[in-house]
Amino acid sequence: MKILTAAELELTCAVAGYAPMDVNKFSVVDRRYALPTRNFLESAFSAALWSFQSFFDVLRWSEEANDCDDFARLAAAFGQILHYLTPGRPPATALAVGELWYVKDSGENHAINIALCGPTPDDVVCYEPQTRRIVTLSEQEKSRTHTLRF
Amino acid sequence: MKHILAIALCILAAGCASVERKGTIQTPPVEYVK
Repeated sequence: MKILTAAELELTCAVAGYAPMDVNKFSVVDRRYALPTRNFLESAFSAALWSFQSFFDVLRWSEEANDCDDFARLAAAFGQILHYLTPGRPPATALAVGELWYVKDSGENHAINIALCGPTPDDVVCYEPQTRRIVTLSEQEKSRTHTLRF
Repeated sequence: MKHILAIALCILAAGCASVERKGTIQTPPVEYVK
């Protein structure tokens, strides 16, 4: 099973274009990360995330109370719960699903999820937890990443 | 009198009850990159 160290994860994100100007806004707090497959994010994870959001009645956006950063935080935490519950998960690892804050091309601040679905920069994917779909950021949006947290 | 008290307690309990949860939470195993 492929495992990335914190340094490898940070470097991979940076090469992929996600590099906060302030290094203090790039938090990689665990030592080793297991990588979810893209198929898992798009299928089982998305369905389960919907069930989680539905259970707690937090599917609807609400200004400040349940907005983008809250969706992203919950999705990352939920991924970590699934990782913890997975039989045979690689020991002493976190899941490479984090939170990403950036400035959209429209000028708005936004928060979504970022995941490493493989060891190369091409495997870094962004995930919109409000629609439960993988999304693509423009190169300019990537460069306007201001906070990353894994 | 007891009935009235019981009804009042039921109404109070309903008002204080937590929000009803919807469905169940799926917890599929993570598929990892090999």
